[in-house]
Amino acid sequence: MGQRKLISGNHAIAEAAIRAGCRFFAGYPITPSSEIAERLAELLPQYDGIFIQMEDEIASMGAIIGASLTGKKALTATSGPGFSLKQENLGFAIMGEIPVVIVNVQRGGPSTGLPTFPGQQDLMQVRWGRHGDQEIIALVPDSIQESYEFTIKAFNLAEQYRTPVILLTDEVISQMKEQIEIPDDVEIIDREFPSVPPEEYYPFDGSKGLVPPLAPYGEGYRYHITGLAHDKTGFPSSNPKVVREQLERKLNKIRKNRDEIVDVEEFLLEDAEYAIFALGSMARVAKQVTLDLREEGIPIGLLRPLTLWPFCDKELINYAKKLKHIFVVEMNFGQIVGEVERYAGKYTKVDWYGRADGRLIPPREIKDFIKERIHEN
Amino acid sequence: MRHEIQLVGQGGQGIRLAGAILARAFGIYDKKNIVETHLYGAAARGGLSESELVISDEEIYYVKVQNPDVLIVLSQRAYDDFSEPVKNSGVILADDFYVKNFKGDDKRLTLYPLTRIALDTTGSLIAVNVVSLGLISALYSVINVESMRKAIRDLIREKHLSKNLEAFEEGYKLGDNR
Repeated sequence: MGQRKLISGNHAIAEAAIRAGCRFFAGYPITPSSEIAERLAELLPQYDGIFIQMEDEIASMGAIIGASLTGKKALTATSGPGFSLKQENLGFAIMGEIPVVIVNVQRGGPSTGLPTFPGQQDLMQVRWGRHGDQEIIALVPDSIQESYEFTIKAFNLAEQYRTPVILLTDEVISQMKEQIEIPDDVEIIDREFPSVPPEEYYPFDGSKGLVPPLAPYGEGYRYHITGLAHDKTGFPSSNPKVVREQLERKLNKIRKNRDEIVDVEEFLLEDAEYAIFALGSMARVAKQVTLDLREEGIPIGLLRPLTLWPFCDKELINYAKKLKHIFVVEMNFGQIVGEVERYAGKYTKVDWYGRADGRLIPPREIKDFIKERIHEN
Repeated sequence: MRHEIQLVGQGGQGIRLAGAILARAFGIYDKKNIVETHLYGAAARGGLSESELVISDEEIYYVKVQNPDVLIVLSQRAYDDFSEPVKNSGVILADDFYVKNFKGDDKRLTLYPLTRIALDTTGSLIAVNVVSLGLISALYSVINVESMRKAIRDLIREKHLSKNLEAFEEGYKLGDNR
């Protein structure tokens, strides 16, 4: 049995980051994420780590990219407006294949929006906020326990696939407190160190696998990293064959490992005829709705993506073929419903309920909506 | 069984700390499932401050209060905006210094001199939070008063602890005498 703790989502993320081996944080305070920085400012010096409050979110993102290239596991944490600012450097990290973890504690948007209230309005920004073709990994916890576990998982995935990973939470999950059990044993993955001497090392050489080892700067390996399209050495190239091969490898390292990365929770789905599709804090509300509706004799379950991106298309299609109706519930004016329709729409009816006014949608509202739709059909 | 406790007032009345004390008493010392959440504005003082606690023997899926069993209101606005959802069988405990206007004949409502007791006991308005906690510890049997005392010792700084414990006991007496 691990140690039990009463802790907020933000503090759980900070403590899990240390556990995952994170030794560098750069950030700029923003509600409702600031407690992550605050806690790491206390913790990192105790672990020989470095904490820097930068001048803004753009610089914070730059700093963690630099830290990661020296071999440190690096983290930044922000909320919507700050996440917008991080996009350019995030694109650079994707192009340069630099493992970093970014926490986005969603609040109501657009713009400065609702600093102290929750939203789920960044779902598509996480996927497509940068220009250019790319894959991204995003994990969405619905509890403090998962905030802890997914933080470690985010670092592991970043290191394993040499890529930025987003931990996408929201004001409710990050600010609330509940008990968690700190696991005794956790799996920690570290990036692969090159097996060749510095003179034979190429940072983007895909000949031995989709994820080339990443050498830390300062250990004798000298190489170039740029946002420009590049060849295996890291120097710019506009040769169409090279450009295509490099980009395809960057996409495929996520796409071909999709089954390893994607995870869903199937809640009371075995005998379900209906399902709710929801994530994060709204999935938690949806669990209550599912239990309440089951009590009224409606065979309903919940499909919850734990990884928002890559999208759980296969799992969704598998259930869509069996279900009469899927209800997408989200704290926005219609984002993930587009993806659900894209994959499930061919096989079953998809309906949507949501809003974005800074308040968690209460179970009764969702229950009434679902019952009405079931009755109509 | 699900219980919901909500505390509402203004920034500077120690609402968040009161929520944290309740959460610790139930979560750590009574080993109940709890979720503590809060509402807050951008201002540090004077704005709305709210803290809420859901306590259950079962998994808590909906983390916000819906129909509180106990609502403590330490400002007029808190009463105006938060009293309606309280259960018919629930209680609204209002501070008689800040809350002056009531909707008709509300059987759930009782007024207490919480701020006055805080001032008399500690010389400071801010202890109104622990006075309130003392009061609900006496009135609401779900709360274990010993766990509350322990949680207060854990969360209130040494320098202010004895005054706060005193204020808590005064609040407790207020409820116990009823």
